[in-house]
Amino acid sequence: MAELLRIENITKKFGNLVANEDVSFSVNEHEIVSLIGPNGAGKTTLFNSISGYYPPTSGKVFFKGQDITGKTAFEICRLGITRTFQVVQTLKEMTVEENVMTGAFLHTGSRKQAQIAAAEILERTGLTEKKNIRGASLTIIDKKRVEIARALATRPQLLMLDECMAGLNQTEIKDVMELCLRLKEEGLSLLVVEHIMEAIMPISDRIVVLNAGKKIAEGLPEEIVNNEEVIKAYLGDRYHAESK
Amino acid sequence: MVILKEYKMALVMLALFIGVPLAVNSTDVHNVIIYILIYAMVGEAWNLITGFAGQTSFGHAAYFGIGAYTSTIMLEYFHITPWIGMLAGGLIAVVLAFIVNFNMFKLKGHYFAIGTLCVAEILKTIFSKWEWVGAGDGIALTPISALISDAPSSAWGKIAWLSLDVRDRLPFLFTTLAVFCLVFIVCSVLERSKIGFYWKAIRESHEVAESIGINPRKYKLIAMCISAFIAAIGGTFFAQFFKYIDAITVFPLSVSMIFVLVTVLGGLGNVYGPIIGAVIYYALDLLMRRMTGGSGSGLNLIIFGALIVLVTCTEPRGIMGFVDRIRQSLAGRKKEGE
Repeated sequence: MAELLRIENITKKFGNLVANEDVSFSVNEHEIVSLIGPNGAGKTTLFNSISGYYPPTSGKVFFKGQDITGKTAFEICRLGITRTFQVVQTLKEMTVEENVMTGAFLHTGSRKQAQIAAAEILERTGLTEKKNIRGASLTIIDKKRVEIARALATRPQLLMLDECMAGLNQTEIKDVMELCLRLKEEGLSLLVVEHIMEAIMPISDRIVVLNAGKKIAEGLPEEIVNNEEVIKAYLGDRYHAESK
Repeated sequence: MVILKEYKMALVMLALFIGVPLAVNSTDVHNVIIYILIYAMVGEAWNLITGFAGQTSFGHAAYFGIGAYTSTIMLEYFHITPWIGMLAGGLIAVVLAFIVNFNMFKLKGHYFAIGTLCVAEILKTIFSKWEWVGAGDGIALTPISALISDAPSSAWGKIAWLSLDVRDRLPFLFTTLAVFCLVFIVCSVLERSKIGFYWKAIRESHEVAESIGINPRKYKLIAMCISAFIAAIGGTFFAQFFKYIDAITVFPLSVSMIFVLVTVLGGLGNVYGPIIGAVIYYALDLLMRRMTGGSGSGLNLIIFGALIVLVTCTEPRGIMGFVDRIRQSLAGRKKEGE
């Protein structure tokens, strides 16, 4: 499997606060890599560094062998990396279809072409029936669907999902899991930040664990669940000792 | 046929703008309609940058004034037809908009709005002190008839038919209407195209716009430049019609605010908004002048202000927001009936 994204020794400081320290890992083609860790571990900061929202203090990001460190977010999107947001950001005054068309306009100047591309993605994400609803009046699950659909419309090779399952119920989580697997089959790579372990373990090919800004573990899902460091990070030393 | 259906409202309005001036033979009414068209035109311009792209400008008088001054100076000093003056004014406005906003678009929200306000105020001060453009006295435009009789055989005399002659109200009114229609079509086409989608995405969220490959600064600059061009054209028509300009007439905040208020009342982010807002503003003006005599009692401004408060509190999308709501509920009822 060819390597798609590689980050090398990423450090991000905000003043004295070290949000990420010396984090390195890679994402291959046709792979779902998950980024997990307790609250405040620096997952979203890392996302922002990769996707160009702010440059890392030091370290490098490579996409398909090209150094993309310090490029702006829209340049990075044009290269083939599209992200979604932890706090879901629907374009409120636009309909579902228009939301997705806005993404599709990256590859075409024609309204008709964008509409055709959007129709296909709406079908794939199960939004066709709701295409005329305004963004502001959608339920949370549909807002998240729209967010993924809009990102897909830019035809990324790497899709970065920031906690897209938070706040969803069991069936809705299942829907998103299935969508992730389907996207992988279609040839995409995914980098997923997630808190919900029962959702993340079955779909991930590899898992990277962050704690207090540092990478503490990386491996297959089954390796991660048995990793001492990871259990400590999640439960704390005391409960880790008691559980033995 | 689809186009007819989608632009039914525009066609009804066009019919009214042609029909009313022909039916009502009153200079007063004709004047009001000309003002409606001029302010609606600049309202459309303001709507592009603020209604669609979401960047509040409180300084559109800057571009309006540039248009008014450029065409007037070219006409008065160099005897160049206002049709060329209008394009020149538009280009100067575009250049100014580009230079000023290239850096100012780093500001967001209120700070950007304050910046735009400063630009207009600075121009107002410059033009009120600048001797060559009349300083505090301003420039009174020579009637075109006088220009022609002065030099019947000159180049100017030969292109007089191209001039914007106000002696007859109706031809001037219909010329303004034609240019307004062009502006309206351009704005409608832009709204429905890729650029319109990108503007709205930027308005809703900078972050999202960037995440789907949009360069916000580039598209905001495009919006501002197109907007400045149209505002300058509006300024030319104003100067030609009012026949006198000075810095206090074309550059002050009160002028910028008319563009803002008519659009907000009519419907922010809607191509019909500026038209409806301008019609209400000037209809009130005319009505109050008829009722109280003289130059009006200011009552029209009180009523207009109250209307804005009322409308924006209940429907942020202005009067067009109400129209949309009624349309949707009618459509819903129709569907249920089927």
